[in-house]
Amino acid sequence: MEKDIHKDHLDDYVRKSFGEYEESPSSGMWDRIESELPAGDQEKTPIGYWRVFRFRWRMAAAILLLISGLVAEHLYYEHKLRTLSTQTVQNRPSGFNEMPERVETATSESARIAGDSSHSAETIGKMDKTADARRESTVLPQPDNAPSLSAPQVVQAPGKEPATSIPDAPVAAVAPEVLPETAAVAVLPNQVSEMAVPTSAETATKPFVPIAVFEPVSRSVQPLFAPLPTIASDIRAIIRPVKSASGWYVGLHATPRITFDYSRMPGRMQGGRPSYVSRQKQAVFVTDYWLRAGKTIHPHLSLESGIGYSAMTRSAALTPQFRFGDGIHGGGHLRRFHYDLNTYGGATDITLAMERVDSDPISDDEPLSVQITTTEQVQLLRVPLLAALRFGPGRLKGVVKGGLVAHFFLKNELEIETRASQNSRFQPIQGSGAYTVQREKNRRLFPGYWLSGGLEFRLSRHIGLAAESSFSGDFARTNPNGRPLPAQYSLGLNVGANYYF
Amino acid sequence: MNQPDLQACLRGERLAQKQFFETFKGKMFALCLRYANSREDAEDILQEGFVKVFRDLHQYSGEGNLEGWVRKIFVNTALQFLQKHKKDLLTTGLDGLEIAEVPEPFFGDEPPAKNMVRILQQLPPGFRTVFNLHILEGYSHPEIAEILNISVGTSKSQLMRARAYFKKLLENSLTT
Repeated sequence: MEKDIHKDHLDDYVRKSFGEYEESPSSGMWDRIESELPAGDQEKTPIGYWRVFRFRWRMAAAILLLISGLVAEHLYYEHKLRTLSTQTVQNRPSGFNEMPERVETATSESARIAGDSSHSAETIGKMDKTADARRESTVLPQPDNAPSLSAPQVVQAPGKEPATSIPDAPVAAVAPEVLPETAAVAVLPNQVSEMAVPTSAETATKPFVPIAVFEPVSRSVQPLFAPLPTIASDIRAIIRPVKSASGWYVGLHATPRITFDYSRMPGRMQGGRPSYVSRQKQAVFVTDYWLRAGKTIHPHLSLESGIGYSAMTRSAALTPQFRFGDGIHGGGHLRRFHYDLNTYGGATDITLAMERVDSDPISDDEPLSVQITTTEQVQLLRVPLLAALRFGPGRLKGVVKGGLVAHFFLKNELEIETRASQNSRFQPIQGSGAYTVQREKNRRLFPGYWLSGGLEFRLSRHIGLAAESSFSGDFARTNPNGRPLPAQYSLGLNVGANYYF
Repeated sequence: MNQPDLQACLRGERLAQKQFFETFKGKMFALCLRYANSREDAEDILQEGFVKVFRDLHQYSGEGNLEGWVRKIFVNTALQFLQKHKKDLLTTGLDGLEIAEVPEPFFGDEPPAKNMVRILQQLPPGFRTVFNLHILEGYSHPEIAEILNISVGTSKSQLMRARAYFKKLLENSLTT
């Protein structure tokens, strides 16, 4: 050894000695490194599988619960309607079609029913829901043999107790389907114009079941400029509520909106490179296109979901502040500067290659600022789950909606548009290798919220037009390294048409 | 040596990244020890180096030796670490350094490399850096001058003095 050294072959001796030399770091080193690594793809580990499974299981459970609720609600009404239909048929006298017509004014019972709006509304709702079921019924009278609906009737069930002894005798809903095609599509409580009741003499001998008889409302839309004498009736038509038969509806909507950024500026990452948040240069106009579907679960309340799409181009400017010493030597006068850029689409690793213009001595503290302009292309799929409250007396209703919106990135790309050095001793290099832009593994799904309020006008039984001002946004979110990302909020106008089944 | 699964590392799979770490940790820690003042500093450099490797792995084109690519990142990381902590010695203080008192000699049956790591850590950071870059990494003097932002002449003179210092320390450790 000494011989080697004295031969002045120190360099070779050192190289040979270090040749395959390895040394183990402390046992906790991997944990330290792992704590600084961004959250990556964990699917290959059992824990990762479990997390994904748990998340999907929750999603599936939520969807199943929603569907189950809707089906249960539907079945419940079906059951109620079948009960009503059965009772009606059972109570129907044998000579139903030959029942004599009676002209009677509403009794106190009918008046009570007519005056009780909640009861009436429920009755109407039941009627609406029975439409299809009764349409299929073979025991109900068909249009040809149906009794005249314009006249009150008495349905008498021989051998039964008089109606007066059946205080809760059901109000048999006369099927709207037996009406001619131009007949009513909706009925008001006060349209229960007459209810057949027995005379005092008949009640002593004949039991009966009262049947509510409803007046039809014309389905035709009133002309826009109607003659003066019809204005009053037009107004009455507007304030008449229009009920949908099934409670289901679908709609096509569009929401032009203006978006704004809000963000929390992160600090410098410990032991890592600088981290910046870009802010969009100016408010961005975006339009969402929606296909929505909803179900009325209460006279005033609906659940609404659907799917929406929007595409956005977001420009942002940023001036990262480096020092010369921050750059990694890349050979010659080249230095590479790394930083994290957090944008709406998530975190991005950016490497900028800069070269020195001169060869004069330079300090590590020499500031090096580069103005960077980025363009972000984002396509979003949006799935809302909203509660919609509709209120108001007639066809023109107020609508308030609120709920959550799931956002899913279909496209999420970032490009550097311009680079300009603010220090004349450096310049960005051109050509390949000038910069690299690498999106981190950002989350593609993130939650948001939606609030809107406006008006909906029912043109007819099936068609409604809606216009609502909307406020929507994203919940605070972070990049895979736990740094905050800029989020957006939007002000918009949601317009569209709904089709009620 | 098993070749780590780079695609899995790029996807951020922890098991693959750990395998990558296990593959290179010994050699890279030895490298860090050569540049650092202490074992603690070397572990800091090692940690930062691996984070950078995983962060920049997408830049590895697949051409060339992976170990060479990883080694370059660790050398850069070590230099940045020294610049951050011993900036003056790397830039302005090199010329002012003189060979000082020779430290205590080294004993024991440890491998020569381990002994030499201890000797290297006795060198002033500026000497150590030039010595490492030229003799062990193979950088030329113009490259060292560029990396450390010093003149080529300074690089040569510092290497000469570093050699002398190192030799003296080594002789002392071997003859004692």
